[in-house]
Amino acid sequence: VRGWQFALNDIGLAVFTTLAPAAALAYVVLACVILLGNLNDRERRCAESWLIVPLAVAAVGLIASATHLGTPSNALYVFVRVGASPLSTEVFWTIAFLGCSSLYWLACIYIGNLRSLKNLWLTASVVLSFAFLRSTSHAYAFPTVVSWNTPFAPIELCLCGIAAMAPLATFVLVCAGQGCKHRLVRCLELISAIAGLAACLCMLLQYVDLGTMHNAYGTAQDLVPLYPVAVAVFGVCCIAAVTATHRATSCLWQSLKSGGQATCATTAPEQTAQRRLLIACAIAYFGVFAVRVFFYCFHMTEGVV
Amino acid sequence: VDQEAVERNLQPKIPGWGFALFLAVNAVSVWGGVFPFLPFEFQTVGVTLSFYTAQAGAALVAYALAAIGSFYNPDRTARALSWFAALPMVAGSIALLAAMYVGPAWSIALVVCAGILLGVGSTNMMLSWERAFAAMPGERGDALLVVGSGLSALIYLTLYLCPVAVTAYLVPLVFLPLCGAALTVTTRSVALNQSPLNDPPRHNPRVYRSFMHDYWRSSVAAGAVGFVAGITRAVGLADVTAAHVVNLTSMGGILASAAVILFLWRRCSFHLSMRKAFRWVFPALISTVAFIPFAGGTAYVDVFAGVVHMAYAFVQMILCVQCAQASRDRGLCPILTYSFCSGIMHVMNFAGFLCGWSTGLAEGLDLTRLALAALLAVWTLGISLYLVWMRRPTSSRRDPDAVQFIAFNQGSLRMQPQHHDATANTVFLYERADDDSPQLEIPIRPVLDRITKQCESLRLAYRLSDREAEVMELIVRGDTVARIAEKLNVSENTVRTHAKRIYTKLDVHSKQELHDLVQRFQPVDI
Repeated sequence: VRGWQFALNDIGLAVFTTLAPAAALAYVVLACVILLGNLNDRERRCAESWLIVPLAVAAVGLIASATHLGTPSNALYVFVRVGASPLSTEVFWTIAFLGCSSLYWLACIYIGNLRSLKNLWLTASVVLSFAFLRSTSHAYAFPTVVSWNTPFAPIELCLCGIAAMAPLATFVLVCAGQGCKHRLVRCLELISAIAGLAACLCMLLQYVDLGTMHNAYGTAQDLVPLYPVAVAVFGVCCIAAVTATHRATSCLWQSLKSGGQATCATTAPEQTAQRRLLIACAIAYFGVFAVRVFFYCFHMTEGVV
Repeated sequence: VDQEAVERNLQPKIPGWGFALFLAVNAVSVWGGVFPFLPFEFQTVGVTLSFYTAQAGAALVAYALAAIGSFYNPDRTARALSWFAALPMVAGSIALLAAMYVGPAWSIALVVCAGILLGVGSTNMMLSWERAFAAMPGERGDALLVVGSGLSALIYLTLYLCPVAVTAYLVPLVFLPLCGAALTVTTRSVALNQSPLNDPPRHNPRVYRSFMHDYWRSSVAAGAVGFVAGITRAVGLADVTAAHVVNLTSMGGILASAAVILFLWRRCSFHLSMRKAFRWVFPALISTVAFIPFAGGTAYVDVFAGVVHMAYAFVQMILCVQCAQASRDRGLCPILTYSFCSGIMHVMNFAGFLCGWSTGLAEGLDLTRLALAALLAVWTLGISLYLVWMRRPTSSRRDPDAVQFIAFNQGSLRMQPQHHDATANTVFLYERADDDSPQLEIPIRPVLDRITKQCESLRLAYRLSDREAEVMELIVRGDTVARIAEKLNVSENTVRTHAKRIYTKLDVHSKQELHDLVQRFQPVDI
């Protein structure tokens, strides 16, 4: 019961760590296509406009994580301890990434074809996205919370993000008229599948490690007796999401081969693929959310060890 | 008529969502900017009064300046508005946030600055959106105004799901930039510089005089509701929780009214006259106001404030559609038309606020504050009714200021062979496919002869607006452009624009083809 109380208190953070890492990675994928994909002006404009989707997903996560801030007059104090507090640092880099990338998206509407400036800006936002991922994955490295302060925590968060990345990235690519990049899409699916399996392994090792941490009430493992079940659910969701992504893109390519053409203006096969990919995204996110909730359940501080 | 194309008008897309976001952020001008999402302890009477007075005053000045500017140079005025569309609102919202962090001495100064910036900014944005919607072809602009208004309520309610600590920051940092971007994208996709909307009004003063003569009464009717809303706002100034109630009810009202209008619009054609609507609600409104002093307690006033703001939100939405239609029908500059109508409404709303606030200062009277406020509201409502019905507008149409909604399914026709002499060309009798669908009141132009009845048949078949039908009939009768302009009290450019739209809708390319088409239509009984 105590574990669930911790999780409910931090449910906003669970939503944030579920949505934001995968969204940041999907943003990186589309940004790389824009930077390296040799797109013409029209294709580039279309691709740039769809950068808003991963940004919006990450922003929803960020907003959800702010439930504990209280009133607006407290909000800015979160930046007072940037560098000293991992959570403040996490918020700082999140705002930096979202601010830079959102401004880039807005600037694309107002400025013309200043490619070199835009490329520089986009590259900066990609760099910031990795800074965001690093700070988020290390945000739980509190020396006082022994159950979180392990090497498993950052690895798990990153791997979960990569596992949920393929459906969202593919959805964004299809919307942006870049869904016909076969090799890239298959590569993303493979990476997500491998990351999903690696995340399962990591979480099981973490579960074993939790058994070694104890206090007067029991072990940290006792806080999350159903953790292996959640890991199994996550694994199944990952496989289902990757399979759904694979099928959606296969059907789309089949339709395009028989006369269609990938465009920014969505055609019927693309709309079908988008709907299927959205379902894949929902499945992947459900799996990640299940294990993230359990992560907040095994909150055990040094004081009671 | 392509039914799918008509239905597509209802898809909000970027303009609809952008406008909805703007309305949600602006909280339908009830409590502007980020004010509803600031802590209760910050919203003292002094802060609220300073903010509201500065905001309303600045908005009125902005409306006046926009009207004057567009009278002399509409193009330059519109460009000035669109360049700085969202910036004053962003700056105002940030100033309001900054006021929380500084001491009381600076706090009021920042709040006043925020009020001015938000007042100017919201006027700026509203005029820019109105201009874009007025320039859109056919019913697209009207549909977006209604759909966007309805969506704004949903967005506003969604804002309450956000953690209260960040909503105030999301407004200037996320929502307003998005509004600005949506407005930019929309204005790029619309031909804003089209004639006659962009023709300088000073070249056609007669047309604008006619517009003002026809429309000031409906603006006064809207303003009367605004006056009562302003009084209730001032009376409830110290009650911070009432602000949330009023905001939520006004957004609920706008959602319900948008839903009702869309439901009716899909089923039947109808006209909505603000003056007539005012006449219908007047007995209920004045009775409810008169009951205020006897109700006792603030609960009744809060509920009444909610209902009045609901009506005010509806009136604002209809006013937007009315002005957009007037601009298209009469070839008027949308900034000037909206500034005029909305200016009257906002002046009365602000006057109501000042009257309501001043009731708290009145001492030595044998009346309670609520009784005095109710008396002022009753007097204003009575005078407004007198003004609205004092003289009937002199126009060829019965309700020249009524908003027209043409049924979506109108024009889905079936053709029947007509019992006619066999020697005639192909002649069909066109009938409505769903004769059972309800028909609200439709003003009828004076019936002259067979041509009028044939044109009426054509109007129903091709979903022409009243004004387009008028122009078509005059063209068929052989009137010249100059003559039509003189008869309808519009500019010649406006007549040419209507002629182009009519030709496009009817798929004809010359007067002869139009004449032939009219002759193929059997007269209908009207």
